[in-house]
Amino acid sequence: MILFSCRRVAEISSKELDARLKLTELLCAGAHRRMCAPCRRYRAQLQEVDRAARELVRQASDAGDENLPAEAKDRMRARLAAAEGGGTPA
Amino acid sequence: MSDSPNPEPAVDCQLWVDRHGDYLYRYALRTVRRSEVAEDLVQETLLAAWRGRAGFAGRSSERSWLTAILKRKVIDWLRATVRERARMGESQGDDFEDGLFDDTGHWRAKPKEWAAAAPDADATRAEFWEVVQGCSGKLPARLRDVFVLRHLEEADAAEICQAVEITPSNLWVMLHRARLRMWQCLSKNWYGLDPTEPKAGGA
Repeated sequence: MILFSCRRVAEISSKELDARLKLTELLCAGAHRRMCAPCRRYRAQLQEVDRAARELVRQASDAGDENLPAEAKDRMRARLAAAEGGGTPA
Repeated sequence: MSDSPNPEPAVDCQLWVDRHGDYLYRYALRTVRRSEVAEDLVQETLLAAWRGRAGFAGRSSERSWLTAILKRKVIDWLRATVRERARMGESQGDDFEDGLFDDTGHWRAKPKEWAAAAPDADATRAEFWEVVQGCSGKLPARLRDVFVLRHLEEADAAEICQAVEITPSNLWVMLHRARLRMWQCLSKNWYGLDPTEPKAGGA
């Protein structure tokens, strides 16, 4: 059995979130983790990170209190008014 | 409105700016992280919505219709940015990753249990998201754009590679580096465990 380092196993813990692993990656990372509690923990925590990132993007507009600057709003109203004026007649 | 004889639904698109402008802007700001770009994308979204208003039959709320248009624009912008950066070829080694592992590939500081150091109940959910948001904001732009794109797209990694013209292993490396940073940042700022040694600086 090829010995994978913690560094390599950490890479694989990330890769498995994006792709199917090769058989050697699956087996060697699995064998490593059976003997290495920190790498088991890292994998579990990385999955937490992944869930959090997904949720973060989903609720992108609920967080924060930044407002569209007033001059940007004025500009947009003007652009929309122009589009309305030049648009297809009702 | 059902007793109105008006054949075309009245659309006052200038009202969109007041009703949804801030909401859309926050969405854009959270995903592209550049305020000028966020403003531009919101403006493009509203203009595109005006041009495409015939396609909006009130099947969803006005806001979710506009958000869907904006999301598409954000994805296109992120793809173009990642693609452009990849063409300039600036993928190098990673000092941050080097700082977490020693020369033999062992953890310099072993990951510790998160649950044991979990914050107590009075720490609210909102505070947690604040921290996650802050960590994502601290990612270097080259990694953050890829990381956000990965979570924003309902496409698998292979499709993203195709769209941004990078190899799968290139994508995996960037996502791995982004996640390592997110993991370190959350460990430190939410669970109170800092897995980076003092000598391994540079986030």
